[in-house]
Amino acid sequence: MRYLIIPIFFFLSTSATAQVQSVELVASGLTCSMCSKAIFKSLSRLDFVSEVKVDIEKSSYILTFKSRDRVSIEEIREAVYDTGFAIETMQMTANFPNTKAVNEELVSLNGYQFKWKLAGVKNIANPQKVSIVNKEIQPTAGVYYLNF
Amino acid sequence: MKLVNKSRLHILVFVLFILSSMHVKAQELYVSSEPASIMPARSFLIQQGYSKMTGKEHFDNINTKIEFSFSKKWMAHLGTNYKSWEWYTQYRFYSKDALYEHLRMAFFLKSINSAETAIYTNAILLDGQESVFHSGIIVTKLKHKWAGSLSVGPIIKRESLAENGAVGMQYSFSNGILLYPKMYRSYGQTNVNLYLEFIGQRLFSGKANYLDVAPAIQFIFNSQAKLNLSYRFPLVNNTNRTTYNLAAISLDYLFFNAFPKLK
Repeated sequence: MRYLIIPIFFFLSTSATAQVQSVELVASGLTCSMCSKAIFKSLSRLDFVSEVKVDIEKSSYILTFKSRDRVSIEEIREAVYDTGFAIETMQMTANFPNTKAVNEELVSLNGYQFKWKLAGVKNIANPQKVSIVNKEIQPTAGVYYLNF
Repeated sequence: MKLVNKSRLHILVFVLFILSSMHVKAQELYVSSEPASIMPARSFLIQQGYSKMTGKEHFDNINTKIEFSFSKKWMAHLGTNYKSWEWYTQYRFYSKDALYEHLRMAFFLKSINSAETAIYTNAILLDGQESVFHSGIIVTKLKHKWAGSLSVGPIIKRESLAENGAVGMQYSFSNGILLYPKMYRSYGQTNVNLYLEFIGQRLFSGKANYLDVAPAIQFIFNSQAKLNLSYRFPLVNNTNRTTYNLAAISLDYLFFNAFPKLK
């Protein structure tokens, strides 16, 4: 019985809480590996980041976290901009509390306020990959807009 | 007008043209000038170099430079050749990035402080043979295969005979490409970059002017250490400079996140 309860409990806990699992970003403004390493070092240094996987050729970085409870979008953004470069795209893979995404509907995730920005209603397949569509990944009146 | 070494330039331009038509990436870690880009915030670089200046006279120099950035927009360096020393500071006031491209603009101030004077030279020497103030604007454009940088600004000879002209304009135009690797796979790959830089000077009073070219090859190890080899020589030389060729080798190492972030 115990072997049954644990997976059920685990399933319930992950589906009930909305959490960011990983972040994938593409940095812009660079073509050199030294520049790429500067971004890699800056992201790796964040205390809540456990691993950074990099594709130097595509300037893309995949971040996983020590704990899914603490993920700071501002600190990730700052780590990239501090190296003198910018963020072209930022995507998050997350578990959402709802099964449907409705335009302009608020979603709370890791203490952040998000709003869907899409045409009509879309089904969410958890874990769902979404893009933050705010310009330069800066919140608009405290809200990040999501699309997928 | 005295033109020298024109055939050498033709070869260089031709080689650069062939290389730039291949599948290459632009690079702007210039050897003989600074790009408008600032090194990553709170990083630190140490450079050790050796250069040989030749012409009618010849000198050997050992050069040491330390460079650091206070923020993503502001950096400075201190350098010495053990006969003179210089300070340099640069502020990036414009930056626009897109995927594999950017446009950046910066302002810089430089002071070379030397115990020597070169008052009988009708050019302003920036190699430590005299004391000089220099400032200017740098515009750097990176776009996929090509990274070009222009700098222009006034230059002041601090000790001079008036008739030789104490104030002029210094300018540079730099180009750079990545020769190897064709595809980035890891930070451990050695990178080979090729540069072609033009450095010119024109004095406001008097007729002294020059245009030098400085081809360079750069090896980057572990995406953190650079070995730079360059040879600068005049294309046009209407000055009485006693040294006008410069062969230089330098090695530098970049420490990322060397300073803590100030809250």
